[in-house]
Amino acid sequence: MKKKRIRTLVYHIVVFSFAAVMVYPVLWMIMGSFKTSNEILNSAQSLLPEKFLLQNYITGWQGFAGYSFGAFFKNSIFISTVATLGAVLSSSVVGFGFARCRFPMKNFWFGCMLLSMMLPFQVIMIPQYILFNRLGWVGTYLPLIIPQFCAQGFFVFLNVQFIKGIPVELDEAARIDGAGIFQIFGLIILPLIKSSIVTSAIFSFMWRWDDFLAALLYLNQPKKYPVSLALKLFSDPTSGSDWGAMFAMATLSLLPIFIIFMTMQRYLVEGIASTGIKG
Amino acid sequence: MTIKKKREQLVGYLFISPFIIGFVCFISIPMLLSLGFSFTKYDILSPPKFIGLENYITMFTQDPLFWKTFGVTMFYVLFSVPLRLLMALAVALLLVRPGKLSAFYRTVFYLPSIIGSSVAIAILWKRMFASNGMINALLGELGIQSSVAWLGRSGTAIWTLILLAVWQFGSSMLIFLAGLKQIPRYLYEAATVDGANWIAKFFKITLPMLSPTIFFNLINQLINGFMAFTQSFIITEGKPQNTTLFYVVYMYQNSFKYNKLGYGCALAWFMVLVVGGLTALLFLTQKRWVYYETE
Amino acid sequence: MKRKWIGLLMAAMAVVSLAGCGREGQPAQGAAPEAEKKQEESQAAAQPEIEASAGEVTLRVGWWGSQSRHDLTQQVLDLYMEKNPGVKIEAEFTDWSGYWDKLATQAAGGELPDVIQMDYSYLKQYASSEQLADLNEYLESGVIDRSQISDSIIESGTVDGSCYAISLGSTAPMVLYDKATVEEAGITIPVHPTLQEFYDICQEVYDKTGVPAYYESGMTVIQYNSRAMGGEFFADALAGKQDAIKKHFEWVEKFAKAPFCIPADILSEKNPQVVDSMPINDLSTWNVFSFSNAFMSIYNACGGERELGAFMYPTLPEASAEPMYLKPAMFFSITENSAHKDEAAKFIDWFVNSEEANQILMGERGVPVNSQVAEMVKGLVSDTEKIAYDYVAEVNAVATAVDPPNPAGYSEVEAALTTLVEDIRYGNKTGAQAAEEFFPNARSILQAAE
Repeated sequence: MKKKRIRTLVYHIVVFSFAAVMVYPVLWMIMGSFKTSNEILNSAQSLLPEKFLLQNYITGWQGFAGYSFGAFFKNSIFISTVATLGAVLSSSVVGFGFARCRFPMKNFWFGCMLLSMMLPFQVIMIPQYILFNRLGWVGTYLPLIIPQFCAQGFFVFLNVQFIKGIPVELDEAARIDGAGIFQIFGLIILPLIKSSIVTSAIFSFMWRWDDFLAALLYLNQPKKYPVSLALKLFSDPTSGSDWGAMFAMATLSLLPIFIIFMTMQRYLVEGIASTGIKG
Repeated sequence: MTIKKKREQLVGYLFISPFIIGFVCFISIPMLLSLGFSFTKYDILSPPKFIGLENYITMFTQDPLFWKTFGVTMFYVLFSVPLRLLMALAVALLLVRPGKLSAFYRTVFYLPSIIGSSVAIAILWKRMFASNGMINALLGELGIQSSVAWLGRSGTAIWTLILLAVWQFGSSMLIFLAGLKQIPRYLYEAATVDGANWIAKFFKITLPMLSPTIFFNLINQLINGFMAFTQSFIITEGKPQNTTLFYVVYMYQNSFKYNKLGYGCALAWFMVLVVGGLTALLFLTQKRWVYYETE
Repeated sequence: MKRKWIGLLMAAMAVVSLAGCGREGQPAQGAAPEAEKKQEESQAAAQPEIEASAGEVTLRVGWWGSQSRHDLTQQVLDLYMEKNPGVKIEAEFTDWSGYWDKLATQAAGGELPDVIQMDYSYLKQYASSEQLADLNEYLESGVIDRSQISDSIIESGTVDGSCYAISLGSTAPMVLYDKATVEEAGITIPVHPTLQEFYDICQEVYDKTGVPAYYESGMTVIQYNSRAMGGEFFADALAGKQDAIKKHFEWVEKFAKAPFCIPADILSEKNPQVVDSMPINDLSTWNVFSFSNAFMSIYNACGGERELGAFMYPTLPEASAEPMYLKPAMFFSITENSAHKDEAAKFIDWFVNSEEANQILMGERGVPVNSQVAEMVKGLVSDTEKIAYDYVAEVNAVATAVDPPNPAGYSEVEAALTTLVEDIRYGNKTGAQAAEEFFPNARSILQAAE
């Protein structure tokens, strides 16, 4: 009993000190939001600001040319939420198709999917812009959202790997009980890949939240900008940047991702063991 | 039988139809166009001119930076991918045991990945590794006097970027965690009954059961590693002496800074070939070490 | 199989060339107003109070910059809309590097804004690929009033005889230095030193104070040195004249080897091109090479308390011509695909020439080009900022005509130069070796880009 307690203590000391190293740079950034721009640029050693300044949050929040960060946050939340819903839903459906259905040219389509993950966005952005422009979507959120509803390679692949880890006997048992393929998907598989769906949701939200390149290309009016793009507007190589304000808004912009992560990660804890399935 | 088989195939296509629609509409056309551009001289501002294989020939015979950046990227991938995966796996194994603090730890370890590749990270990394920065101060505390400009030396700058990649292991860790959770508990219970120790459990149960997840992370990190852009773009800008100039950054510079989109596309497609080849190779080895329930 | 392949390629090309046509006019022209109307409608729904005053014309105006530029410019746009109820202006602003990616993409899609902020290094590319509207007719008809703008400034926006861009502010090459350090060394710096004088000053400052110096060696300086030899860098490179280039690399090596020079690795971790990380900010060096319109920004980046002085870029001792020049800090251009060129020209005229606009802008884009407006703004700025204005006046007295806008291939030549200069600074190459390598390289890049 005593031995176990010591082991637990050692475990926590090791993990905790490692965690402290990991988290230091993050704390530094958060503390930076209370420093002046000059202090940020000239002090890496000191974590705490000389004086806690709230001014950065005030000037930062005001945003640019009359558009405050309130608007940018609203835009980001809208884009990220809708896009994530689309990506997670479509990717689990497609993932099931690849993992459990038999059809011709499956490997071809799977290859296409991997290929779509390998091509740097920078080389397809011009043709894609021309395409979306012809569809009349430039200036709207459609180019940022609609493609997400068409499944994302990363999440499809992730779901495929997880579904492949589920014994086929489960499907067969259900089939014998008279379940159709859609029921197998919805009632058997979907609950079992909860952890990969939750993981996808966390990633998708975060990536949409951080993505600025698509927003830069497809949105013209600043009032439609998401936070990620607005953050870029603080910096200008030729005339100096308001780092304090940028750090303040960057810190705020972590909050939604943080909240999503905190609420979602609980579901990661429940694995297959807690669903009571035994092969 | 055939009707049933047809039906099954149809259902299969129904399930993957969102992907096919998206791929055909939004990806395949731009992709083919970029492939087409790679055979042209295209400065974006005026229409492309067909020049055949010239871009590819230039790339292999007249462009030292092509080889240089390719080498830099290879080096980066070679070290950052395995290190990051090992780190992620180790931490995931540490955190998989349930406990009051495990949610807290998970969050803390994931935090660096949340702040992602923001400008804040760029500033922080520059300050940390500056000659008068935090790393040297820490070394000083340990009695090692150092005023190395880590980002200014050609030997060390790339390592700071590798370190950054390793530091942001959160996403791989999360996937490992999800994979670990997927392993049925009864397997371990049965092994305990059989008297297996933790080493045996790890190699006989955890690793094989986790192999699909490991495979996924490996492929994914490999692709990500080759596509790495922001670190080099915003932290080091390729300096010093192009030792941190990543391939994709070079491709971007050609496409947009030098207005040679045609050449940029050729560079991109060469990379697709390399990454695609490596991925295909990994898929071929899959049968040897990846364990699927379905097979 | 092969035929199928070619067919695919052809199809792809067809789509691109269609898009290309769109830029030239017909199909996209039809689509653009429609899209605008849609945008207007959604705008109207969101802001009914604007809808009442908004009329027929919507101008899209794009620029890059910092927070203060966005705020000030938006104020000016609001004022313009207030005074011109028939015009609605939509601002499209981004950061510097995003701006050019976006502009290139929009150009490919035939969707450029009506008025775009232009940089001297991009002007020629955009003008010669017919993305920009010829402004000569507006200058001749007086829609854009040039009576208070000097010919050289109009000339600076001209490519092949047509003016494509109106400068929004002038700037001049400027070496900034920390006054306290130089005074501590007991030196007075001549306002227009030669390179040898500058070298000696650096040595003396270092001997007396221990603060290192910085010699910029990039494109600006190689072009400057070519000017001093009576040439023009790009013309020289194409024509095979190597004198100035050789001299440039000699001096780069001389400075790189000097004990007073900031070490290469420290320099690399700073970035003298970016205001926030200039080595002068934390006195890693006592000087920095920049332009006069960045004076206030650098002053602020240094903490806003240290006194800074300015002198002109040092000149080759054997100079045969005066290399100092004034150049446009940035321009406004009207795009060729704009459906409202007349309105856009009126707007630019007001932006450049009106006192009310410039009272708000306060020379944020450089010293105003309208001489009366410049006088007015100078009366309004702080004493510190006056240093920059006085400096520009001083340069104006000696300046010769600026080089023509950078040709295509500029950025690539710049990258080649940067690499070689780094090689010299890290001691991997001598100046002579670098010059030998640079010359044919630059030449072939320029020839290929033409």
